[in-house]
Amino acid sequence: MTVRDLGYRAYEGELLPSSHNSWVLLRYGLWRIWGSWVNKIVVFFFWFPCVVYVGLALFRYFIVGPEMPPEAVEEGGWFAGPPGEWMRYLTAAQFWFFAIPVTLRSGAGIVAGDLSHKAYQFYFAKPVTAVQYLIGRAAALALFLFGLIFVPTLILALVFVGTGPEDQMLERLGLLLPAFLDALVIATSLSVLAVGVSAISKSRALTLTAWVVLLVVPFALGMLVEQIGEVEWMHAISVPGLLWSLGDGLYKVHDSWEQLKWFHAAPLLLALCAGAGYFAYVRISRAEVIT
Amino acid sequence: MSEASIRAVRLSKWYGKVTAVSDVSLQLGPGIWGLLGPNGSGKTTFMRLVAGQIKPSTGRLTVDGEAPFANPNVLRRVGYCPEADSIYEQLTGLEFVSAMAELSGYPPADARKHAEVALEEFGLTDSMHRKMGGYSRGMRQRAKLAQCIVHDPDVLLLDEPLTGTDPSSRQQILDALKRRAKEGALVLFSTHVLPEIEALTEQVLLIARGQVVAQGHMQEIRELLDEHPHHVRVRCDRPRELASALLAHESGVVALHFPAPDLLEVRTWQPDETYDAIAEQALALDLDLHSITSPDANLEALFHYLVERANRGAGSGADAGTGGARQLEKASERTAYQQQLEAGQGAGESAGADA
Repeated sequence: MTVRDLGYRAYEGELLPSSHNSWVLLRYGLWRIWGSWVNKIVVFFFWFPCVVYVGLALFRYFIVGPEMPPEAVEEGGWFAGPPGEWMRYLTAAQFWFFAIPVTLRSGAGIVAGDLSHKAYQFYFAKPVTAVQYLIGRAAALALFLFGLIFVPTLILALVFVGTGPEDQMLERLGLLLPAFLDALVIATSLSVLAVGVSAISKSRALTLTAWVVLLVVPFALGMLVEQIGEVEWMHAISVPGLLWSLGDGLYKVHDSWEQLKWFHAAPLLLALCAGAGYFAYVRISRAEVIT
Repeated sequence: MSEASIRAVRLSKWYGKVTAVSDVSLQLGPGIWGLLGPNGSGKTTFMRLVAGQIKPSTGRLTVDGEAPFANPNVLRRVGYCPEADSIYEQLTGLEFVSAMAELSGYPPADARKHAEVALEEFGLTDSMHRKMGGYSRGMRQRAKLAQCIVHDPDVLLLDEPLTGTDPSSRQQILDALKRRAKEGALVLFSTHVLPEIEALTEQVLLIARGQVVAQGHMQEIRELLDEHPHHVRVRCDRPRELASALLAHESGVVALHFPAPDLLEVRTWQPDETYDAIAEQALALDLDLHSITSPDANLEALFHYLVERANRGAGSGADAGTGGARQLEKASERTAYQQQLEAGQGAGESAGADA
């Protein structure tokens, strides 16, 4: 019996271009992310804040009516705030409670796992380039994070559209764009940074620690300095701070900080992501090991 | 489409100060080739060079007529099965092999179909839907081999493909590789276990310290094993008496050594005659014989011998570029080796001094 008898034929169909590889890596990367029990738990719970916010929005609609009375708005408080502010808070909840755990769980090992297992040898024996590999890896995580952040804000936005005064319908529909862009910026930034941090070492423990340090320490430091010295610039060294500032700019609802504006945060975040991406590229290109 | 081929001309690869592959020249055509070498000899680096994963430091390498490094045309025609046992545990065998087929350019539906056939070829039909985390080592090895052939390559590079396999899966793998070679594929597989090569091919490349020290027919390797000096260790109650008797006997003994009071180490050119003589003398002297072992009846000793020979200038990997197998000049080699032995031995180790 020959190989041909078993059904083997030299492939006669059209081969897809190698640019298709990032898409393949993305799809299988999503499977890997879904394979983690931490991420399954996250998916199970990530609706909860949305349900709470939607419940409150409906409660406000039925108790107060489609529009808050001007005196209540003047008194302030998030409950009386505009829909955009609600969505900002929901995004923050999704970011800290769901996006961060997923990024830590799947992002820390996204490249480190392949480095330690020498899985590159499988990928790079196929017509896969380092750039395609990185895009595929980052995109899988980004898509997952995007879903975690955008879907709840989308639902909340639609609830606001449905329960708002008719003359504000278009304005409220307009919230979908900043919601989409904000989720996209958060998901992309975290994924690219995750790829960079994950390429630091083969050790997942080390990359996980690096991630925690990168996300938490500068943010805590920024908060501390803001409280003590009333200096907001320290948030410029923290990833959550930069993302939050950018989100403020996108929603145009209110500025969290007087000093750090979105146009300061955008180039800083871009530089950080570009640096992380380049670092990962260099590390993978030099991933030659004597075996 | 050109015929499956690997051609290296003065190929070298360094990692900093470490030379992994040194000045290798060779030309391989369709068929099965065994790449034989001890651990750390440069087999994997050579494989990875051919698989286009690393760039040569110097020299030229072509696979099917083109340089393989970062060349999608070549990579689509090459199937590489790395030694690393790094398979995603969350994926099923079918998902893993399908993914690899897709990365070779197959549309998803075709990739799946081909993955099923490839897994079937290696006997994984029943377990293709199971997560690979639950696979045995042999099954993982077969899944790796399936991903290697799934895109129907004509150059197969297999790094220690039989590691961890049981006899039945080993046979399955060997049969599949033979079928591939019959179809016109070039199969280059590395191992440090001689019988694995013997079961598959007669064409062998010997690599040691990054150099191709010999290229040729399996029979020649066997002859080399037979003709390089062997060590025989005899543990008995009166080793010195046995040593005297062996020296008096025409058994090809070139050196004797006593590493322990009850241990005699014999170095001989004629192992068969020496074994016979030991048995004969043990009976004649009524020795209390505990064991007879040979510490170097393996490839390590042969590589050692060939490397020393290469270092003496008898040849380098570049010799292989002519395509012909290098024949060892037995008599001159033996004399040179013997001289080297004599020069290198301490006084207490020489036959005359000890015996």
